[in-house]
Amino acid sequence: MRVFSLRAKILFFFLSAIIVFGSLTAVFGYRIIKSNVLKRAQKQVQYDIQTAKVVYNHELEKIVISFTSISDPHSAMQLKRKLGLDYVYSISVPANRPIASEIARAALSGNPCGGSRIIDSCELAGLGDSLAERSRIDIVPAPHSPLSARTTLTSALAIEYAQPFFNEKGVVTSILVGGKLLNRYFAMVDTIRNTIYGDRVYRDKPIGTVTIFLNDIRIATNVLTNNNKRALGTHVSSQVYNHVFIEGKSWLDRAFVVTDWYLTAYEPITDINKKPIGILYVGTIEKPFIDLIFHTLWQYCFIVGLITIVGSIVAFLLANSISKPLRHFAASVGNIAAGDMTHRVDVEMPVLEIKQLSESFNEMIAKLLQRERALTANNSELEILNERYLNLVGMVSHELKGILASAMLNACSVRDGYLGECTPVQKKSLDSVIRNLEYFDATVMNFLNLSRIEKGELSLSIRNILMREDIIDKSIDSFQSQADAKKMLIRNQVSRDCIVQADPSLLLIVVNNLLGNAIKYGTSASEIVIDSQQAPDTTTISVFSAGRPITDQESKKLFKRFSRIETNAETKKTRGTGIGLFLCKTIIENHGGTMGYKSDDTGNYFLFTLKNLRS
Amino acid sequence: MNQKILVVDDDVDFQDATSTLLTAKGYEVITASNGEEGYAMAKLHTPSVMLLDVMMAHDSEGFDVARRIHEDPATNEIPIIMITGIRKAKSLPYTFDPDPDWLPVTIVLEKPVKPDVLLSAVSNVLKSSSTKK
Repeated sequence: MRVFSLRAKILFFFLSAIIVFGSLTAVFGYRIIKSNVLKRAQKQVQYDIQTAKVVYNHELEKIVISFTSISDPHSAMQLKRKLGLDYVYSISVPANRPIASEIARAALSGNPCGGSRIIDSCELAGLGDSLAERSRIDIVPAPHSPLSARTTLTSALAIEYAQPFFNEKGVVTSILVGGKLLNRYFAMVDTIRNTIYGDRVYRDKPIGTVTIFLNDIRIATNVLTNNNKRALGTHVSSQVYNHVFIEGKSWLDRAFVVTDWYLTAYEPITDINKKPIGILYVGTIEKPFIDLIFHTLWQYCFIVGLITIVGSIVAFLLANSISKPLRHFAASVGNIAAGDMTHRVDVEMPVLEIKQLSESFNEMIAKLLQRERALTANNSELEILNERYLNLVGMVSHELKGILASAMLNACSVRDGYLGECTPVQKKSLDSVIRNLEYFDATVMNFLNLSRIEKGELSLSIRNILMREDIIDKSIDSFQSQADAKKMLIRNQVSRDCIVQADPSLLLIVVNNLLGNAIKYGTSASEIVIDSQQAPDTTTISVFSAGRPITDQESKKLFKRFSRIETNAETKKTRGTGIGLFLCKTIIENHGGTMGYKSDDTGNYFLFTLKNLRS
Repeated sequence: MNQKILVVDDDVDFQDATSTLLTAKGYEVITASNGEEGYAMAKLHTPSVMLLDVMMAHDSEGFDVARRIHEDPATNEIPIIMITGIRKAKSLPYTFDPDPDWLPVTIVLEKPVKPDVLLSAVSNVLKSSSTKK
C-alpha cells in the first residue's frame, strides 16, 4: 500500500473538495444564470411585441379620428396630404363598378370598418400617385420561401379605413376610404423601435429591430444587411413562417435574423376576416445577454479561483500545523525507540490533542525508565547474589571433595584389609559407609557441575565418540556395585557402532545421572535396559527402569532445578538434590540435542537424542 | 630397602590416609604440604615415586612443581603420579593429559581414589621405572 504523509493527504482532500464543489457550482450556476437571464429577456420581448402592436394599431386610430370629424366625403379628399395618408377616395352608393376593397365593402352595411389588407398591383395602379412604383420591392431569392418564384413584390400591405355616409333617410350614399401603405414605411418601424429601445446600441448595432412582413417578405424594417442597408425583400425563416403564418400562432423564441441571433417575437397581421396576411416582428439582439452570462460566469470563476488559492494556502497551513507537531512527535519517539530513554517529547505543541499525547507519552517513558532502572538495579543485585551463591557452591563442593577423598581412601583401605583384616560385620558396615561416600561424591560432582553450568563455564569439547565403549560401559562400571546391592541387572543393548558427536566428559555426567536414577528409583531385582535407536541424522539413547510410572503431574517437575518428585513414600525415602535431570537436560541442549521421558505400565524411559557422526 | 614415596598434598587428612595405606603396604612415606616443600624434599630424598596434588596454594601449583622436578637433572628421574580432585570438578583452561613439556607426569588419578587403584598405579610406576634403570 502506498503511504502518504498526513500533510499531503489533508492538502489533497481539501483541494479536491474545493475543485469538485467549485466545478459543480460553476456548471449549475451557468445553467441557472443562463436560464434566468434569457427567460427574463424573452419575457421583455413579449411585452415589446405588445407595444409594437399598439403603435401599429395607432396608425389606424389616427385615420379613424381624422375621418370622424369629416361631414362631407368630398372635402376629405383635399385633406389627404394633410392627414399623411397615401390614398383617400370616395365611392358613391350604389357603386357603378365592383369595389375592390373588402374593407369598403364591409362599410356598405352602414358601419365604419378598418384594418389591414393587401392591395394588389392593379388596384395600386388605380390609386395613382405612383403608389405602385413606391410599393415595388425586389425580392431577395430564398429557396424555402412560398413566394420565391417571384422576383418582385408588386402588391402592398395597407392600413385602411372606410367610413359610410348617409342621407336623411339613413341610407348609405357614399363611402369614404383612406389608407396608409406599409411598404417602405420606415417611419413606422423606426417609431416602434424608438418607443421600445430608444437609441441604445450594442457594438455599433441597435439592440432592437422591428419588421413588418407582407406574407413572408420584409416590406418595412430596420434590420440591416451586412452592407448596412435595410433588409427589404428578405424572407422570414421557414420555421417561423410555418408557425406564425400557416398556424396563425405567436412566436416567442430565439431566431436567426439576417445576420445575428435575436430573442424574437412574431405576431400575425390579419385582414378583417382574420386571415393572416403579414407578420409584425420585434427582436432584441441576443449577444448582450450571452455576454452578460459569460461575464457573470467569469466573475464567478474568478471568485472560485480566488477561493481555491486562499483555500490551498489555508489547507497548507492547516496541514502543516497538524503534521508538524506529529512529525516532531514521531522523530522524538524514534529517538526513544533507538534507546535514548532520557529523551523527552516536546510538550509545547499548538494542537491540544497532540500536546496531551506528548505529555502522556513522556509520563509513560518516565515510568518505563524508572522501571528499567529498578530492573537493572535488581538484576545487578541478583547477579552479585548469584555469583556469590555459585562461588559458594563451588568452594563448598571443592572443600567437600577434599574431605571425601581422604574419607573414601581411609574407609576403602580398612574395608579392603590393607590395614588389617576386619570382621564381616565391620566389612558390611564399611560397605555402607563407602556407598554413602560414593553417593556423596556424585552429589558433590553434580553441585560442581551445576555451578559450572550456571557460571557459563560449560564449554563443549565436541568429538566423535563411541557411545557404548566410551560412555555406557564406563558408566556401568561405576554403578555396578550399586546395582548389585539392589540385585538389579543392567543390560547394555547400545549398538557397538553407535557414534555420536558430543563432549565425552559431559555426556558421561548425563549417562551417570540417568543410570544412577534408574538404580535409585527402579524396582529392586529388576532389569535396567540401556538401548539406542539410530536415525539417519540422530541417535536416541534410552535408559529404562522398571517401577511406578511417572504421572503427568510429576513430569512437569522432572527437569526443573532443585525440583524433586516426592509424591510417595518410596521417592521421599530416596535421597536426591533435584539437580541431576536439570544438569542432563542442560548438557544435552547445549549439544543441540533433546531430552525427554516416556512411561508405560512397566516403568519409565529417559531418552536423549544427539546428532550422529558428521559425514 | 623400602622404596620411598613422597606425598605432596596440602590436605593433611589425605596425606595421613595415603601414608597409612602405603606404609601398611611396606613403602617408606615422606610428606610435604606445599609445592616448594615438595620440590625441596624431592631433591633431598630422591624418592622412587612422587604423589603430587594439583591445587594447593594456587590452582596449578602441582603443574609447576612437576615441571621443576622434570627440568632439574637431580630430580628428573623421579616418576610422578598426579592426584587431582579438580579435573572434572573445575573448568580449567588446560588439559590433564600427561605430556613431557606441558604436564611431565606418568599417571593422573582422580580423587576420590580407591586404595587398589592407587596401589596398582604406584606399583606399575615403580615397575616401569625399575625396568628403565
